Amino acid sequence: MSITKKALGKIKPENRKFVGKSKALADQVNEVLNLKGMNQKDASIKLGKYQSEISKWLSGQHNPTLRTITSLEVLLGTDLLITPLQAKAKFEKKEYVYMTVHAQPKIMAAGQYIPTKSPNRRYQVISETRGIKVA
Amino acid sequence: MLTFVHIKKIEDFDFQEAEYFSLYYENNDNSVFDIFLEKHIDMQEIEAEFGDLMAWIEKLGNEGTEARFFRHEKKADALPPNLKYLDFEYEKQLRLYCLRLSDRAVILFGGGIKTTDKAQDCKNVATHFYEAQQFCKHLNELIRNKEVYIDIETQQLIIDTEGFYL
Repeated sequence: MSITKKALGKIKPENRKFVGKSKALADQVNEVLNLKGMNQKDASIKLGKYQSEISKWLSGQHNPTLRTITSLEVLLGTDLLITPLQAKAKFEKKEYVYMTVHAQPKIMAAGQYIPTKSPNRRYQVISETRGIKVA
Repeated sequence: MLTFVHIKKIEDFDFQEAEYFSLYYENNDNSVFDIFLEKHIDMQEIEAEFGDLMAWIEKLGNEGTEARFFRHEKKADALPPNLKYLDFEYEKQLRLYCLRLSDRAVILFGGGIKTTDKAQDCKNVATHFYEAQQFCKHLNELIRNKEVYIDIETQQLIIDTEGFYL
């Protein structure tokens, strides 16, 4: 076996998990900064942090404490990590909006999406009699 | 006397996104990266550090070798990513010097366990640090001469040369 293959074989599940979570956190911070239209310099000014520290947040390998992550979340104004239970509660929440259709009820069949100008909301007809849900 | 250095792809690193390369001195079957691996693979005191380093190589290989994950070491780069901030540092500072060329191409050199703040002052890594600077100087020259270049569309490394004299 070549030394490179042997070296790959040295990666334990905990190495993969640690690196995976570290990179995921770094990617999430990077994504939040991008969504907010901030580069490292903007972020350092807005957050009152040194640019080098922002750079380190984005670089990935770290083992921050829960308190550090929470501080970052407060500074960035968004969640960086959520547990599967929190994710379930957040993303499985359905908001139903009932409406009365007065004309041509068969135009929108179940499963179809109703066009909307809001980029954050999509209304889907869940049945012709029950109404629509926010998708 | 000048020694010829070959650039070759590391075929065993078959990842989804990025390709890794290394350098071979003339008449040597082992790359400089192979020599780094041989030296550190079975060191018990850096078992976690070595495993994490390999996991980073694998992870970035599969997801892209973005610049923000590399340390900047003068002309060269290094792995693992910077972890000096906040409250965590590895007990042993394992360094692998490299040249990150794009999100899809990295050339891996050698490295060692860094024991001082400055790589230049460390008896373990100073040689590898200076060697990496030399490699990068020559590789950048090949890039300037378009003998080694990054395909703009694919971001892959195209090598139109056997190597360089060091």
